[in-house]
Amino acid sequence: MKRLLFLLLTGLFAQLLVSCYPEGADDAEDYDIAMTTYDRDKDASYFASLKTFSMPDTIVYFVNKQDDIIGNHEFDESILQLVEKQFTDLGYQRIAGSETNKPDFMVTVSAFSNVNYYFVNNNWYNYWNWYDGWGWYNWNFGPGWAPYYPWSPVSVMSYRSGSIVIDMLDPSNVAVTSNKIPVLWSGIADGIITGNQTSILQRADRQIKQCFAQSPYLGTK
Amino acid sequence: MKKLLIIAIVLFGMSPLLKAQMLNLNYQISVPLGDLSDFTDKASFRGMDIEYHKFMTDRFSMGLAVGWNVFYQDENHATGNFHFKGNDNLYTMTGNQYRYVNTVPIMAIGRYFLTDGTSAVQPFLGLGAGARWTEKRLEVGQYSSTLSRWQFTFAPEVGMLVPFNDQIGLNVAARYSYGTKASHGRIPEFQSVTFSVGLVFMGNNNNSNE
Repeated sequence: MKRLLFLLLTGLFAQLLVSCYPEGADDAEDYDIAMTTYDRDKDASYFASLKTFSMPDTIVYFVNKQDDIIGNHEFDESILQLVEKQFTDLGYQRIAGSETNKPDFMVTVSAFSNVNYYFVNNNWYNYWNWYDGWGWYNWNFGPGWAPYYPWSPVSVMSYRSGSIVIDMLDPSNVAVTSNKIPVLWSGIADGIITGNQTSILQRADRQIKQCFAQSPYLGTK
Repeated sequence: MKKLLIIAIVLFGMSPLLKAQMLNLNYQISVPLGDLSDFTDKASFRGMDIEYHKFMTDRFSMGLAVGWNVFYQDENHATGNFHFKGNDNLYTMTGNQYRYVNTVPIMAIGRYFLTDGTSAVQPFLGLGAGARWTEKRLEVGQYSSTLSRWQFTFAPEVGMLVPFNDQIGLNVAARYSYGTKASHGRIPEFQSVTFSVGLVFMGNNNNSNE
């Protein structure tokens, strides 16, 4: 009898513990993160030496098939404006750019629709080759060209569906033989274009600003 | 661990043969200290342990305790630097962090009772030693890292036993636990103060119920 009571109590206890085990994230927003990294060979003084940038007027969607999770482009313009403002607030000047007036760096904004979709594959060229800016440099730009993340031995990364990736590229220091455009800084607003449509801009705003806030080495000063 | 449980159950089953013994089931609240509180600084209200004690003399008992404590903390909008597997670069990440520490201490415990078994309140001093399995987990966004290791552990305690009758009693105790750090400090040095309250089921040689 006593043993039975004890076993019963033990079971009850364990059940209680399991049922109130802490849960973690509840909704899509709880998973939002701002993630940044940069070329560790560079420092604040290097980033301060950069003055001008160019930026395509489009967010490029790296989507799988006809993935429509983030297929509507209604937030593109606001997000691009937001990104531009972060860079100009840091003192960088956006220029149209030309062969005679090359910017110090390029900013690309990409969006991802699939968790396991890899950014740095040969298909990068397929998505971006329309951009005139690459033509200002004397590369033999063609398939196989891709951004190169100097900090990563494996230059692949998977993002959550609906992530915005902002890359600062250095097109003037390209390794022409390996077709790699070095990346100076990367900011990832992970997973923001998912969940409730009405809060997307607000979340994008928060995470994109956070990317810059946690990168104090950026800026012309 | 299973083996130890079986031994405990068998010993309990042999209660008529033994002089005096007790099974003890406790609810526990733990307050993290030191390195552990750097990771999860909130008190844990999720904890329990099962203890078996056998009296070797009137005042001295030897026993075994197996417990489980869960420490949890969520940090909104926290920034940290992280490595990814196979990539030695640091990524700065800001987001909601969910931190968990699960620890399962398994200890042999010796207790000395300041009074004999006839008093209404029986205070005791004890010392436990053994090992604890500790799992540390951090989640941020879609990413998570989990690491678990064994730690050597010891735990002095003070407490009291309040028998209601010769079969059931109340146990109230406070225990300081220390566990050595593991995996080069990635599993932090474990320190906590644990408060236990629970029921004691006593098996004495002079009762005939078993």
